[in-house]
Amino acid sequence: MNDERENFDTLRRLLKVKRYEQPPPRYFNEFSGQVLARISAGEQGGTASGLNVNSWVESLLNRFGARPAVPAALGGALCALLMAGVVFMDTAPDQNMDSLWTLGAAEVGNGAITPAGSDSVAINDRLRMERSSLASAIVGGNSNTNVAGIALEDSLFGRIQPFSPKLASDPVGSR
Amino acid sequence: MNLNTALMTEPAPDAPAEPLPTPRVVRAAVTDDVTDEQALVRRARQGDMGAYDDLVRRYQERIYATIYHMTSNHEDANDLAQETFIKAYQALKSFKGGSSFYTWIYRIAVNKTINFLKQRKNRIHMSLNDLDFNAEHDPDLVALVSDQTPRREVNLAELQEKLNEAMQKLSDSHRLVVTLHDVQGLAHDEIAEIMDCNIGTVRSRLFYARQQLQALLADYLK
Repeated sequence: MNDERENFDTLRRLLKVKRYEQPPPRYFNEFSGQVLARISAGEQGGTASGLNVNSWVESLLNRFGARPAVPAALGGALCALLMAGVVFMDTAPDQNMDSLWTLGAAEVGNGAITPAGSDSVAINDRLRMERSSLASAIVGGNSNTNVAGIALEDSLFGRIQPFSPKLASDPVGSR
Repeated sequence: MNLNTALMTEPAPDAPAEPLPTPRVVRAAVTDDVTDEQALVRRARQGDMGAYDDLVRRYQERIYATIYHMTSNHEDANDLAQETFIKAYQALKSFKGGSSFYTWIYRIAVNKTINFLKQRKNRIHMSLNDLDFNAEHDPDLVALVSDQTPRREVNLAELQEKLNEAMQKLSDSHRLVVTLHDVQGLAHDEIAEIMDCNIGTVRSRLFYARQQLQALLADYLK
């Protein structure tokens, strides 16, 4: 018991070391000035902490800081959504291209396209050209570009021609 | 007196260097101080920045020291201490005067520090202040270095580091009671008011914290 009592007295003396720990010289001379400067800065627009956010946002950040799992889960979900969107965007044009390619292949098979057009690259080039002409027709609103004879639709934005990929050759069945 | 009683009672105060003033003078001094503080708070609430500057200067050392002993990091203590006084200024209108301004601002500092430590978790990075040169002349500390430690070549800087490491191994609440009582000399009832708990909780936490520190610093206590 005496040893333990002595250990306690020694611990108390050891803890006195903490009382002698001092910040750098003249630290407290400038402390209050810095505090008041930050308060004044906060009153002029930003928060006193220097962040130009509303207090509720700051408390939200503090709350997320205390529980980082929540923002981590939200970030993961957002990344998953973005990835899904990227994958969807990547596959959707391919599907369109696939259907166009199928359409082109069908027309090749029907003899509607000359041998020069049987090349897949040539077909894609023609599709690209047709698209650009259709796009310019839509933007220009020129009814004379209704090459395919597709009925134009009236809308708030003028007469818009529905998008319908058209090959340079005569459409099937037009003969 | 058994060990439990020894560990749970307050340590005997050091002998004062000067004779204590008479009780009437002490009561008058405390009353004047409280009155002065209330006047400063009233003026600060009305926008008097000079009054708030006086309040900051009055408590900056104690607030900084509390936070520093809790974090063992000067930079963190600086940031948290400033934010404590900034938040206190912003919340002055909500200070109803039920407790002293001193206790109220201590509570803000403690809450901010505890929240900071929860975010920091186990990523402890100590940035210790230097020891005041008077430490080498303190008879208690001199005795510690020369006689009480088995490794006589240990110096005060090493003792300081080992002590801070041990403190950081305590839980936040245990480190807090040791800081407020054993380092800063606050009474149990003051600590209970700051920590918003009862005096029995303060005593039991202090007892347990001292036991843990004794175990962690056994090499330096024999």
